[in-house]
Amino acid sequence: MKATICPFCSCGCRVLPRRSAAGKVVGLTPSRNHPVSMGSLCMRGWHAVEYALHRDRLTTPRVRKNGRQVPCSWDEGIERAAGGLRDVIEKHGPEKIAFIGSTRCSNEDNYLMTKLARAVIGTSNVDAGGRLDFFPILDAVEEAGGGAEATLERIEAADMLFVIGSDLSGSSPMAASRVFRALERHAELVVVDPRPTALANLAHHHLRVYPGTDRYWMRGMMACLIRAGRTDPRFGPLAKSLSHFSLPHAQEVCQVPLTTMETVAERLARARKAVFMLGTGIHKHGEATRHTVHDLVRLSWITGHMGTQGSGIMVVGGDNNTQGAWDMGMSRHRNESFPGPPEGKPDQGMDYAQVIDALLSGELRALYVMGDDLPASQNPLREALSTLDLLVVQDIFRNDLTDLATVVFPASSSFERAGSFTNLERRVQWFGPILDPLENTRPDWDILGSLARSLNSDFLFQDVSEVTDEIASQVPRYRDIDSARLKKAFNGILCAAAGEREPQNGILASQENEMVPAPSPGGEFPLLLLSGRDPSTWGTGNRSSRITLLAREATPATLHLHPDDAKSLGVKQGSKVRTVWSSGMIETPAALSEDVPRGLAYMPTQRVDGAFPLRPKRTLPVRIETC
Amino acid sequence: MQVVIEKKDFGRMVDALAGDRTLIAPIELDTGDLLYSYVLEGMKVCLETDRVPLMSAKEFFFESEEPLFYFQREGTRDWHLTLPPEPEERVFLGIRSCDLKGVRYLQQFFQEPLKDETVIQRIEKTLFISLGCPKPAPSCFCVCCDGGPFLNDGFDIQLVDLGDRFLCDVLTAGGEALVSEHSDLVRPATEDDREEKTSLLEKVDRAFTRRSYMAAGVKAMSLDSVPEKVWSTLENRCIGCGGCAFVCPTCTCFNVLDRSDGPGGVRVRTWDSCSYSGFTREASGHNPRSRKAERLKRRFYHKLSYQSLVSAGRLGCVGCGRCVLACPVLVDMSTFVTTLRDDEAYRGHG
Repeated sequence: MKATICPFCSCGCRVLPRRSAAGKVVGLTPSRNHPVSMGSLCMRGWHAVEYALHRDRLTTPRVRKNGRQVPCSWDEGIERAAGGLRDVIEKHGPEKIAFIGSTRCSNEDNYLMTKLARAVIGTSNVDAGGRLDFFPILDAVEEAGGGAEATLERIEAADMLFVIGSDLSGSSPMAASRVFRALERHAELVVVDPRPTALANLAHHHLRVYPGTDRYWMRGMMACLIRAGRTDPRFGPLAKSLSHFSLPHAQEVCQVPLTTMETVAERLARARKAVFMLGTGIHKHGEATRHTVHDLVRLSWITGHMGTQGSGIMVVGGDNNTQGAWDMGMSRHRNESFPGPPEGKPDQGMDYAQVIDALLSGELRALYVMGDDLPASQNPLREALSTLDLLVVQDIFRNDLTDLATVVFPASSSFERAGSFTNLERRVQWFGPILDPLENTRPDWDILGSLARSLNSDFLFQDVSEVTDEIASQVPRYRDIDSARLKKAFNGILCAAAGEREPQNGILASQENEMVPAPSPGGEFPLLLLSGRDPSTWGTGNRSSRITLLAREATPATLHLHPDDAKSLGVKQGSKVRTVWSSGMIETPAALSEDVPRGLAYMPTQRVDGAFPLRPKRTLPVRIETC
Repeated sequence: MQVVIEKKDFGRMVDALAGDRTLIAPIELDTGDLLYSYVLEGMKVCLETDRVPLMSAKEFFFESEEPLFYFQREGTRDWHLTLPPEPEERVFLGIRSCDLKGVRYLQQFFQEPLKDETVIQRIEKTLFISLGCPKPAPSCFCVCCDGGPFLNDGFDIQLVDLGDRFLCDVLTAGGEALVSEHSDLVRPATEDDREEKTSLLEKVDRAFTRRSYMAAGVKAMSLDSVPEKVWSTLENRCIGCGGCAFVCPTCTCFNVLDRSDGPGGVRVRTWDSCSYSGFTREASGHNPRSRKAERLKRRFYHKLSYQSLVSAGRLGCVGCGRCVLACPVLVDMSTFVTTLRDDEAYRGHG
């Protein structure tokens, strides 16, 4: 296949190379016949190939010798990594090793990493950065069961759309595109966001919810409908659990007017097809994320939008392979047929956050990272990483993490190799190479394969297709989605959806009534900082900052405040302020904007990742000081 | 001069052209999309007009990234500069009427007041065998923009699809020379051929399904009378992808930067887009067009206003419809001007 898939967001646009007379790739163009791109791309997609051609690419394996990293051969690097892993297994046991995969790497890369960790090394400590944002949401959607899956096509055909906690135009532009097409057909749009996003400005209903209180409007809407006698008797247990739910209290906590809750709930109950797009704005911590997603499932269920044709939930805003990495075992929901750990070893190991904790406490001895930007510039993590017995990193660019590594492997970019990604609607798509391989780099799956062979395992994969075919035989959702089919399918293959069946009854029965109160900043940290994302910077900007026009568009970190809050703090437009939280601070200029609700502050965080706490939080209590 | 070539013989002519010249033509990709491309081995030339090639012909003249010069440090103070090779002779087969109009627009832009030798040479050294459109696509509105579907000038040879054969309007000496090279494949056109062309032209005008009310756009942009709510709706829709500028045959925004590696490198010119905020942001940080609405206004002003029309000698839109196809959020020329005529449609949502 002489076409690839855009490597940035989870929409998964099909991009085609444009070539010079000499056959050199000079740019990209979207396929018009593809059901995602449909002839369009976002700014990232138009310029994506530039980073792969950047001179900063890693092109030599490196090993640490006498404290210094030096170039080495592939054989030496593989031998050193294998030897290091063997040593740690012998001295400390395999549970002292952790593996971090990537929501940007392919299904094949992530599958092989899970297999390497579990079946070869014997540890279930394998996860990816998605654990900090999208994985808990995907877990909860999966748990809720069938019918919780929407497609882009369903967005366009729906008559009611919810966009919850996502600046969709920037994070999943092709989903936003479908929202506009649906609006042309007179669909009704509800945007739930504390700030007026571009989409919120065009919405019929903008619910300016107080951060972290989504369950209150969801339960509020359910209570409105139940009390108006608009629900089926079979939802009795749910009605009972909401009988003491106070609507005035909900209004006070989530700041969505009761009349709005009533109106939107009524419209939702009347709608024939409703699609709910869910972003990281609803992300809380621990069980709260799960309960929020479950409440959304309950709301969509009692309004007749679960397990029905044309409705569903879509998780928006992830990376190009967030769903795929989750499906390939970087999740807590592995099927039993997935390559398991040896007898007697636990099936669930540490997740990403636990890996960081274990690094900090010195519990881990070795870490293997594939294409993840662990925030290695900050102490104490930096120090913890430097004292490991072994740190192996596969990446396409040098970064803070590769600098600390014992062994660095230069990986090929997705433009130089083949494999499959899975998009936000679970469309599995093959991508083929459009660039010649960069000399001395190797695909991630191939590096993992060489390492496994060096550890005497039988990873005999000669070609990436063989990995794809093993996935098709091992991962139930990907049953029969083999490489032969994928290579012919320019439009990809939609994974068998769980079907139009009823969701798990447990979701209705389990009441999960305990509500986490709204974050209430006060005392030392009286303002709640809301983080956002700048669409021209993706992730930590490892790739997007190496694209000229994207880097030029990136907005410098700025703290946005409501003019009233600014006035009481003595902050003026453009003046320099210090934002302080319990474990750190950052200095930026301030901007005054009525878009920010009183009591909140807003900052697009992606340019300042290094300065933020290790666990990215959507909200953070802060205090603002003038400097 | 008018000659006729049977379609069954046309493939031989294409093969001959591909064999001894640098040939550009619309090719069909595995995805079913068409794309203008240098015809390399194994590519399939496709001369259908109801599928619009993904990109315009612009990139073969005003390239998406082109070297302006190479530089190399010599010693401590001197720089050695090298120019890229001069453009070569090429044949562009199957360029659509609208796209050729776009090339002529570029020719004027890069000619005056400052002449860009390279772009001009690329255009002058290309022989254009244009393709009149017997079947417009649903996105096409060249008929509203003096962009087609057939041309009276600007081409070397124009192909008129008469079903089993092409009638070739040969306009230039270059075109005549090419025809005479293939004299074994062509015959002089007859009165019947010419009549068939005339009736085709009449029929084609009625085949356009998209109406674009360019006059409404010219008036509103010239008088600056577009209602603010139109701009605010557009601004909330536009995702700032820049795609409209990249696919547009007449957009000429560019950026200049150095790609250097130690002592040497290359200064390149790349495509840019006036919808990007960084395009107009000044070194001080001040941006004269900081609002997206202001940038969109600039774009439509440059394409439509009387003031721009006078300086460019024509409307800045050839009606190729690519923005209709490439814009993910319906902020395209055709929708815009139609909105201005019928403001009702733009009350926004909510």
